[in-house]
Amino acid sequence: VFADLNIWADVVAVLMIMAPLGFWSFQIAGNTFTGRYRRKFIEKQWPHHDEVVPFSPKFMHAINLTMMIALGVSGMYLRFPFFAAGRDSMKLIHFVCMYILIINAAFRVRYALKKDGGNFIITMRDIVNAPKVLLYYTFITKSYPHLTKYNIMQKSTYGYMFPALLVIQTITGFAMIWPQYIFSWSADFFGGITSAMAWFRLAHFLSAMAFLMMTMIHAFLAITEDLPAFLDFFGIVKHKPHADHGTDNHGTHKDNPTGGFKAPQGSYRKSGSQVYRERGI
Amino acid sequence: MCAGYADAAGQSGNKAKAIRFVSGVPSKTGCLVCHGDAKILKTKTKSKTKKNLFVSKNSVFMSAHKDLACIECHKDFSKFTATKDHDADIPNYKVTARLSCQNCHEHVKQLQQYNQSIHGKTARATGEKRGADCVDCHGAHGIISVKKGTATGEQFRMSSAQICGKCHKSYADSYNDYYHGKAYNQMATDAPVCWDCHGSHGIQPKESPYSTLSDANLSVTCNKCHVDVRLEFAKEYGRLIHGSPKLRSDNIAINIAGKVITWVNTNILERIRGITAYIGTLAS
Repeated sequence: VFADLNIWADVVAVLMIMAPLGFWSFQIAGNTFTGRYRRKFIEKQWPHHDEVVPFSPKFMHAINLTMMIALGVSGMYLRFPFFAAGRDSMKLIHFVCMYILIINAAFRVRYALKKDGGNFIITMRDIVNAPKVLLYYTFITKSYPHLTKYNIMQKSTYGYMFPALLVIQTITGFAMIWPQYIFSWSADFFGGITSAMAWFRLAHFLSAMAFLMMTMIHAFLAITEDLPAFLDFFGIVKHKPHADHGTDNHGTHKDNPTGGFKAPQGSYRKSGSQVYRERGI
Repeated sequence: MCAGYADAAGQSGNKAKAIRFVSGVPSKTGCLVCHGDAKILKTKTKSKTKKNLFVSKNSVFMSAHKDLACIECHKDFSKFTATKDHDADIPNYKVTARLSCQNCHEHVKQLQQYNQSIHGKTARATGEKRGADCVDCHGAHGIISVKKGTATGEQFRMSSAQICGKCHKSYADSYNDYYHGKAYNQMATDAPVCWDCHGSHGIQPKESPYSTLSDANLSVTCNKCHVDVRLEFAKEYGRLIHGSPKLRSDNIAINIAGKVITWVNTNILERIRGITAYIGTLAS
């Protein structure tokens, strides 16, 4: 089974790379035909922001990005070597970047707990409005309720999926480095330490591909949905906050210090759940 | 008859000339005067069969045996020079070489293993026509040191697919699994080479209970590099080592994708290429 699963893992990996390419094509076509790209890229109607993103999260994001690219390239090299020699150096790069990423992740969690963690809390309103977000990204509706800094897709991706994959990658990665010490419990279950390592390696590869898939979607949407914010995030262009942000009835970031979790009633556009409540549904 | 000699001596280019000499000098330079000429041919008088006797100077002087005299390996040289019967069938040079190897190297163990191996048994059974001998794997005039940790040792290891692939091409070509074959093909020094798994001097057919790949020994073989490899997993992963290409071609998704790509190529891309070429013709 394991041999066949490895081949299937490659098939799944290819599909995981093709899926975002399909998503890109769909988004480019939809955004072009609905005129969203014209409004954004030509008429410069980009989303407004009421705050300047501090340096720390930008810096940590840059570290994340750099390390993930290095991890991705070196990791893919280890499974599919694509140039001569250098496997030892690739392993070294992979390990060093992994440690930097984990340390960086620890600092990011600390920052989230102290500062912006509330932005990632998924509230009931988010869940109720989730279909509207999906309808917007499938070009069925023109907009969706702007409740908080991030929509439910962003919250679930940044706050849960990426961290969950990072945890999986860390566990499976360490399992391969020190299998006999850390995961000796799994040896009998998998039929030997090397067998356990091989299964963890397969899981590591598949979660890496999931990471790549989500990153491809994330990067594409970051660029096409809000290019100025994207450029600002990498320090390429300075992005100024809009003074009139929130005047369209959804409140400012200051009004929603925990990303809408404690937002005062009425300070944002009516959400789906409110409408349902008012209608008694 | 020595055809190249005449050329080397600046005499009539195409006429073969008989050479009568006995080399008593334990040196290479004398032999290479003639054998260093790429045109040197030995033609048997009766059968007219020709054999190139060229020896590359570069390979000799770069070899691990650069300090040896030719006759230290070619011990039967004086028996088969032109002073003797030139048309006599010379015993397979590989046999002589094997005997020569023993003379200088204390390779009794390797020889004993070789004699019990599938290579040794085949060589003896077929009168040395088949079955690899020392020089088939280690090389002859360009022989390099196989000492571990040396540059030539690494070079030898990295040549394993070419060495074994001379006879076992399909296995050399199919060595393309994850982490072993793919890494080896990209010259990863920590990747296993053929004899790390199959054994070398004492190599046995995989059906033999003494084979390093038999059920009794497979785990031991894998555990040379890995930790706690058990037979079931070793056999399962072993399917990938030479079987990856087949497993891929047998995979239903890859099969379908291959058919789709072929269909798109023949039915769409070919037509687009045809149309483009037609437009190009019209434009020109």
